[in-house]
Amino acid sequence: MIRKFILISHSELANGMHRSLEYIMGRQPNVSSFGLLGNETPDKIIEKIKKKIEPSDFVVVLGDISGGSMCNAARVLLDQPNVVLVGGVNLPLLIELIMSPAQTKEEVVKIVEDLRSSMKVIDTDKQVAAQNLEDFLDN
Amino acid sequence: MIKMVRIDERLIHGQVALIWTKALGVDRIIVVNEEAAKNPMMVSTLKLATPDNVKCIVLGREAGGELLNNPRADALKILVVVNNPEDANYLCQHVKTIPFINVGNYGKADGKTSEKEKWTDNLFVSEKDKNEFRSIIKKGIDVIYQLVPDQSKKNLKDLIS
Repeated sequence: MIRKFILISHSELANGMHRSLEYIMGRQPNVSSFGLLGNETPDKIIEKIKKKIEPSDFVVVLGDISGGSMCNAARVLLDQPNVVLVGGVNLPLLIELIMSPAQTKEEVVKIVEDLRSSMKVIDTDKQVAAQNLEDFLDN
Repeated sequence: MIKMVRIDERLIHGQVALIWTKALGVDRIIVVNEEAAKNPMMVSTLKLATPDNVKCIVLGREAGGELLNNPRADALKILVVVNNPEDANYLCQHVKTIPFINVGNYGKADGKTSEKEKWTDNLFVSEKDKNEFRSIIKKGIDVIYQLVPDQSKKNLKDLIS
């Protein structure tokens, strides 16, 4: 089974996230990205993606906005049991999925739930206060 | 148990926090750095960079060495992060259970790359750095250059003259 990760977005976000990913992790041959640009339609792009999916693959399609035009068009891919569609992707989620051995929808759901907390308001004082040796050693 | 000691001049960042932490299966990160330990702003930045399921502490050399020698640390899966070979060497001389040293990004931050030897795109070393590495290697501890786990490794023993 080959795991494939496909990023889709309005304009350049998917391609940019792909580049940011490779900046951090090095080359990722199982990741591809498709952005909706002026002269294409979502359906045409999804048609292209469909041709790349083999029955033996496990494919996670990651879109920029749940309910956005790319995610909506990508729903036709869900006819295939080996495809999972995720909306609202961010870079920590993408990295976590690639680092994980996930190859079922249930595993992907679990990772998405776990990674919700990667989005947060950054608060300085609270974290400094947490510098505590006893808490650190507490198993 | 110490899983790895990383030399990385950016300390905790994406490669360390998201990738090595996951690949090594660690639940603790100890940053050993005198300057950072004294600076609350740096401590909070490092803690923020740490994944939620991992606990992080930032300590000076001596306190860091003590913590790593504490028997209670044996039950933890620890990634140690330092930002220079000197601190790594200090730990190698004072802590008994260092498995190996991993080097990622080092030698560019001070802007003096022209005065150093370039060993890889992300590793520039001065004479002083080389002496620190020699001292670690002499202690019988491997120093391995590897940016991220799926990249090939280079043993510094083979690069150092």
